[in-house]
Order: sequence, then structure tokens, then C-alpha cells
Amino acid sequence: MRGAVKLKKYLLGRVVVALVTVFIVITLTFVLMHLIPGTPFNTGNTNMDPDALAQLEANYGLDKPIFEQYLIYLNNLLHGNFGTSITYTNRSVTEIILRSFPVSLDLGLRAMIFGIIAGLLLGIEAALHHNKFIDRFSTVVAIVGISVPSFVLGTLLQLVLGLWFSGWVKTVFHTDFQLFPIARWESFRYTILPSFVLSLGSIASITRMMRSSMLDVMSQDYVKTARSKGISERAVTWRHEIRNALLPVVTIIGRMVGNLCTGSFVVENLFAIPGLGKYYVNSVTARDYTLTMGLTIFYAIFIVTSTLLVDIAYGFIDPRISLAGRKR
Amino acid sequence: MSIFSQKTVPVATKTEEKDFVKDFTPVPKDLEASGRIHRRSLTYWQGALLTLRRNHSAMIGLAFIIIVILIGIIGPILYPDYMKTNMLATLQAPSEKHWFGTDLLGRDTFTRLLWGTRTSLMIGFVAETINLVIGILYGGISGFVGGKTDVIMMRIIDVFVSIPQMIILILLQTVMSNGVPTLIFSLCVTGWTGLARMVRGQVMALRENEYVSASLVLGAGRWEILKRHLLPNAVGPILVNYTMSIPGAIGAEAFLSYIGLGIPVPAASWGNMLQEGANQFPGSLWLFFSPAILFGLFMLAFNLFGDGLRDALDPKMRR
Amino acid sequence: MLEIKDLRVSFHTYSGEVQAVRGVDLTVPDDDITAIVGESGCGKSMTAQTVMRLHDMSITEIKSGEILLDGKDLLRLTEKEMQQIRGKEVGMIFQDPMTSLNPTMTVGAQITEVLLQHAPKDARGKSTLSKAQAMEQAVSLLREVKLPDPERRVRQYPHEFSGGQRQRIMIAIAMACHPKLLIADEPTTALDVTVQAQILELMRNLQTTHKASIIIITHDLGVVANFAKHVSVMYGGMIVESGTTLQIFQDPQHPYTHSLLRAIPRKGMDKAQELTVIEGTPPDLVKPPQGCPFADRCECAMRVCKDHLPPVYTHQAGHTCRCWLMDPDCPPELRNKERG
Repeated sequence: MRGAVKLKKYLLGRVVVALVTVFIVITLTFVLMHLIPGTPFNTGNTNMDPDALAQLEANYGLDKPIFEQYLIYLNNLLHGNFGTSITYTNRSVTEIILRSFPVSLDLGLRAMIFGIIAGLLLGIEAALHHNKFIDRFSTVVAIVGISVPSFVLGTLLQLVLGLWFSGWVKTVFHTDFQLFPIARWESFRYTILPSFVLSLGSIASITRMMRSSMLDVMSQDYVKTARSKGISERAVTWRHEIRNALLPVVTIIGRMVGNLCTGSFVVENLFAIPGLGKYYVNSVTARDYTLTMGLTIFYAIFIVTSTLLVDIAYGFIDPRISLAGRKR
Repeated sequence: MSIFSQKTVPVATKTEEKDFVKDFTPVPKDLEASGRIHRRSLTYWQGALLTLRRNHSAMIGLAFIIIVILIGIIGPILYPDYMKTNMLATLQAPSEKHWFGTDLLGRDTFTRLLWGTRTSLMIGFVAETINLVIGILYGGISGFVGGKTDVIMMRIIDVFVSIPQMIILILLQTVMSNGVPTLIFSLCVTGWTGLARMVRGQVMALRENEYVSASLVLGAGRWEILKRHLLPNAVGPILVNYTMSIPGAIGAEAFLSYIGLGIPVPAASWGNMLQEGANQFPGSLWLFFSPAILFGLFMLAFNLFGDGLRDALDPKMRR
Repeated sequence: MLEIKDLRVSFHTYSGEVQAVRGVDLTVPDDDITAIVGESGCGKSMTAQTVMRLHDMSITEIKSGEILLDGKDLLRLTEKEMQQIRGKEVGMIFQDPMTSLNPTMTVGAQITEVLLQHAPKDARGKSTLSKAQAMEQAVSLLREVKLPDPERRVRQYPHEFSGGQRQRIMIAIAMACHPKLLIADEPTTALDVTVQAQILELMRNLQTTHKASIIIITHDLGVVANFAKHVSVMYGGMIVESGTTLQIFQDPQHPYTHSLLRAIPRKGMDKAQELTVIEGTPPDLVKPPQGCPFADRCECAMRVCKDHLPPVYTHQAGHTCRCWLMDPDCPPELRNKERG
């Protein structure tokens, strides 16, 4: 029962840190956005009618003292109101999130599932055939995937599969059919390339982690014990090695969520996918402050929550976790 | 399938020899011979260096890194005109005059690549060196002072770590003016936390250690302990951490510039050159490939070297 | 009965081939306890693991030898046949109970695993033992190794047990299928002294009730004296002296055995009698010495020892020794020096 109390305390601590983080991100974002001189409508060089400007600023509540604005903003957030976009007139930030987030989630989940499956398979095979061809192959995949950012590989794939390959298809088969379209998000074909590009980083890091975790587990005494029981090699691999090797890998799946979000900034822009990432980057380039602010906070809440959920899940998977915080 | 080795075994026991004189003259112990080790025994650093030198991919990586650093230092001195436009020679394919062709405004890609290398390397090295200093100081203070201060300092780090780094980077790019100083600053906001945690861990481990209490009892000063015990233990991991973080910073720059938030043209960086190149697809491929190949290989080289360094400095990885 | 004949095992490291076992001959009689004693790195663990063929095949190499278990050469079995031996005919206990149990499986699951594996199969190849039955057996096994409250504890994970308790669980796993032979590789080294005695006591009791034989590997002569009936002393990859415990303790022949015995404290020891340490270090088995491996550290070393490996001499029935001092041509006055 002592373990249960410790587990509760551990979870409580994690939740508190998560809440504090979200609060700090909100405050920081708000303060930073208001540090920018002038208002979004008045950057100093507009020749707008001062009355119209004042009216506009009043519409967005920008005429009130900053602390009051902050409280209003917090209150709105609590009610799920992220404010109104400046560039997309008459569209609320909440509406943009609701419309674009499912697209990003779809893309992210595809990439994550593919990344996890491919990464685990490569990592396990590599460890089981240590120093053989598959091991070397997966090491190369991992190091290239970690070193070369997805936007370079993605651009390359767009060029090779999207442009050159479809050009070749056109000359040979006289059709405009594109197996790997490089823009938009419509049917399954459209999702292949972006999901793959987005998953590259995850494949690399999971492969690497799973491989080293497997190699570590394979040299453990309890694997020797398992073998000394006379159970088959397959049972040793599945019941004892893979099961234990998976534990540390689960923790990086939490971190993956953040990386996938970052990745989606690039992939969605690269492939013209109307997801959250595309709106986010556009809002920054277009200086749409309310949208940037809303999306930053939404991202922060999303990433912090998913990391927290993975950590909690980890606490339930690993029977030792209840002892003392997190290992490794 | 036999589990025996295929080789025949020549190690026949000497007992089989029949014809030799058994000389029963007593001889003294030869303790020195008894301890003779036929494997090389090396100090930690010698062993690390040896392991690293035997790691071919790491050494190739290191050579490439050095070459690229030299390019970044010397190149811009030899070719200073990276902003010179020439509207009569835009989007030219590689030629004798323009080795890597020219861009949309007729600027020489080769020259811009040299300058871009300088910019990207500077951002990576400067930002991570600052992080190194902050991390060591923060972690060192937290570990040495301990107690409540330590708890508070670590909670602060917990919060910093939970904030996604890319969001801070993007946010600061929005708020501050685009450019190298902003990028370096934003990379330093959260970049030091990993190192700080690690240094603190080393310091804490040291405080618990018996040999340190022993040296304290024997009258060694704090500085002495720092020099004799902390540094040798911590330098390895710090070095690895530093090496591995530089490609991260350079990658972040490239990423931001690629999505249009980092270094603005006409300045040159690997990221904005990649972006300009991708914009010309499917034509003028040299504009994309010249920075892409250099950048990709450099990142690969740094990761290979970093991996090699980590393996070499971790005694468990050596056999 | 287990017979090891001229076993030679090497493993490959960065710095070369380590000839860890260099011609070991050993006979383990039924229903008896045999100890293999030696310093770390003398090849005793390697010998034991080779019996179970648990060594890492990618770096170890069995050069030659036979390991006969009731006349069957274990080294010539296929991996599948070997799996029938492991856990069923030979059980094994390891040194560190903290790491030898799977941290993510309940203790019950780890015991039933071996039971289910070796339970007789029916015509359709299905195990005749149900999971529930296996669990019941696991509980009674835990009771047999004197673990309190086995019904509840069988569902717990290893981290909820102390080191001594975990070693009891390991014994339960190793003895689950009533093997003829139990190999215990330093089973008490990682435990507290008080717990050590309990574990040894438990092993001895199980040995008598199950009529099994035990090979215990240890560097602790104290463990040997009260526990084993036969002792083989290993040094530098070979057995240098072998006999009954009584013979080894009362009439040791090899200078190395002498030094070992002088290095253990005894009751009623005179204050003036100091514990002696064996000076020097064991030979590096990457390049093992041509002659006797102990020659460089030996009080009684002779020229012949440096260049020629001594043969095995028989001192008395069942008491053998690999030392030139035993040679009939050796001047007797040299033989007494070691006792001085």
C-alpha cells in the first residue's frame, strides 16, 4: 500500500508541474506579445484614420490597461475562447483550431503509428542480429534520420517521387495520375508522402532507442535465468527481452508528440496541408498576433498533456515505477 | 550443428612431453611476472582516445567537421561579395565562373554557401557554448548549495523542460527582430537545461561519495576537490552533451530559416539557402542541392563523431 | 552423474582470446555436494555456464572436451535437445539475486514458466498442466523454500522482495522440475552473512529431500567447509587440486591450496598467527604461462615449474593434485617448505 501512496504523490507532482508550465506559457506568451511596440493595427507607419484605429483597437479590447486585458484573456481561455484572428477576419481562433486540428491529428497519428511500428521492428531485428547486415542497415537509417532534418529529406522526396517520378509516369503511361501527390490532403494517396516524411524522425529515434535497449536487456542476468529454464529462444525473446526493452522506449513516445508537432510545421507547409502547423507558421509570418498567441497556448497545452499522459501510462506499465520517480 | 570451433587445437598440454630434464632447483617468487598483464592497461583518457581513433566513422566525421569549420572561417575572407546581385546572370547553371551557379538575383551560390556556412556554424557554436557555461554554472550551484535552493532550482528546470523548445523559438522570432542575435538568444533560453541537470547529478553523486568526504577530512580544499574529482568525472559527459547539442542548434536555425522565420535574406545561412532552392523546384536544382548536401553531410558527420565520442568516453562500451 | 573431460573454453575480447578454461576434468557423483573454489577469473563460472551452455555463443568458443550427464554428451546436443535439459535435468542459480529475476513479471509467472515448459505433453502436444495447477505448484514451491505467506506473495513482483527472498525464489525456480543436478554459481556472495547461512541450509535440505547433486561455485572456503563433500580448487583455468573436503582441509598438497587456507580466519586463532595474503596476481589468460600457472606466486617454485605444466598426480584415493612437488623425483625436503 505504501507503493500506491507513492504513485499518487508522483502523479500529483507531475500534474502540478504540467499546470504550472501551461500557466507560465500563457503568461509568457501574453507578455511577449504585448512587448511588441504599438498594436497589431498600428505599427507606427500606417496612415489609417486615428478614429477608425481607435475603434478597431477597442473592438479587440486593446484600449484597456494591460493587466485587465490579461485577466480578460485568461477568463476567455477558461471558456475555450482563444480570441479572434486578425488576418482571417471574422474567424475566431477557436474555430480555426477546431477545423485544422483534426487534420494535423490525422497526419500526426499516421506518422506516429508508422514510426512506432517501423522503428520497433528495425530496432528489434537489429539487436537480434547484432553486427549483421540488418543491424548495420538500421544503424544507417537511424543516424541519417537523426542527422538530416525531415524538411531536407521531405523536399528531396517531393522532387524525386512527386516531380520526377510523376513526370516519368506521364511520359510512359500518358496519364496525369499522381501516385504521390505533393500538395493538399484529400484521399489516402495524398497522405502517404507527408506521413512518411513526418515519421522519419520517429523511426530513427525509436530504432536507435529500441536497439540499444534490446542489447542492454539481452545482456541482463534475468535473460540468462530465463534461458536456464529451458524455454524456447522465441519465448525468451518475446516474454523476457522485448517486453523489458519496450519500457524505456515508451517514455520517448511522450517526447515524440512534441517532435511531431514541430515536424508538422514543416510538413504541412511543404505539402500545403491545411493543418494547425500551417496556420501557426502563417500566423507568425503574417504577424497575426492573436492567432499566434492562441495557437502557441493550444500547442503548449496539447504537448504538455500528452507528455503527462504518457508518463502516467508509464507509471502503470512498469511495476518498479511506484518506488521512486522515473528511472533513467 | 556442432558448437565446437572448427579450428583444430594446437594447445596440447606440456605434460605429454616426456623427454625433458625435471630441474627441481628452487627459484624465488616472481611477483612482478605474476602481475604481468598482456593486454594494454590504459588510463581513462588514453583508452577513450584509442577507442575513438579506432572508430573510423567518427574519425571521418571529425575530419569533415574540421574541413567545414575551416571553410566557414577562411571562405568568406577569400570570397567577400555574397550580396552582389547581377540581374544579367540570374539562375545560371554551375559553370567555371559560378561553380555552384547563381540564384534568382544573380548572386553567386558558392560564395553564399561559404557565408552561409559561417552563419550557421557561428549560431551553433556560440549558442551552445553559452548554454555550456549557463548549464555548468546553474547545475554546479544547484548541486553544491543543495537543500531548498536545489529543490527550487530543479523545479524551475522541470517547467523549462516541459515548454516545447520550438514554440519558444518561434515565439521569440515573432517578438524580436529576425537575425543572428535573436536566434542565438532563443536557442539559449531553454538549451542549457539538459546540461544543468547532468552537472548537478555529477556534483550530487560526488557529495555522496566516500572518497570525497575522505579528502575533506584530510584537509583538501573545495577547489582541490573540484579539480581532482569532479572534473575528471564530469568532463566526459559534458563533452558528449556539448558535441551532440551543436547539430541540434544548427538544425533549429535551418528549420526556422526554412519556414521563413530565421535569418532573412540577403544574409546567407544554410536554412534560408535551402528555402530559396526549394522555391525554384523543379528547376535550378543546384540552388537546393549545394546547401542540402553540405548541410546534410555536416549534420551526419557531427552525429557520427558525437556517437563515437560517447562510446569512447563510456567505459562500459569498451571491451 | 556428471563428468567433465578435458574441457577447454575461450572467449574473445578486444585484447585477444582469453583461454578461460584450459583442460578441466571433473567428476560430480550423484546425491552429493561438490564445490569448485577459486579466485575470480580462474574459469570456475565459465566451467559452470558451459555445462548449461548459457555462455554467449558469439564471443565464446568451446575448443574441446566432453560434458557427460549420465553418459550423454551435453556439448553434442542440439539447441532443442539442450532446452529439454535446462531447467528439467539441470537447474541453475546465479550470483546476484537482485538482477537474476525478470523485473516485469510476477514471481508466480516466473516459476510457472519453467513448470509449464517441462510438463508432460498429451497426444496433441498440449501441456497436461493447466495454468491454475501450475500456480498451485508455484505456491507450494515457495512454501518449500520457506517464503512466508506464499499465496499472496506469488502475485508480487521481484522488487517487492529482499535479496535473500529473491534467492529463495531463484532456488524455487531451479528446483521446480526436480532436476538431478543443481549448479549454484556463487549463490551467497551477494547476500548478508546471516542470510548466507540460511540459503546454504535450505539448499542442503532440498538436496537431501530431492536426492539431487549440487555443484557450488564459490571463492569462499568457509562456505565449502560446512557445505560441500568434495572440493576442486581451480587456478588459472585448470583444476590444481581435488579431493574430499576433509582431505583438502586437513592434508592440502598444492601450495595454492595452502595459501588459500592460510588466508581464512579460524576460531581460536592465535593473535600472533596472522592472516596471510597471497601476493601477486593471477596470470593473464590471454597469454597463459607455459608452465604451472601459480609458479610466479609460489613459495616452492622450482625451475621446472616455470616451463613445464605439471601432470595430475594422485596423492591418495580420490585426492589428486597438479604440482611438481608431487613428482616422485622431487626432493622431499622441498615438499615440507610450504608447511613452514
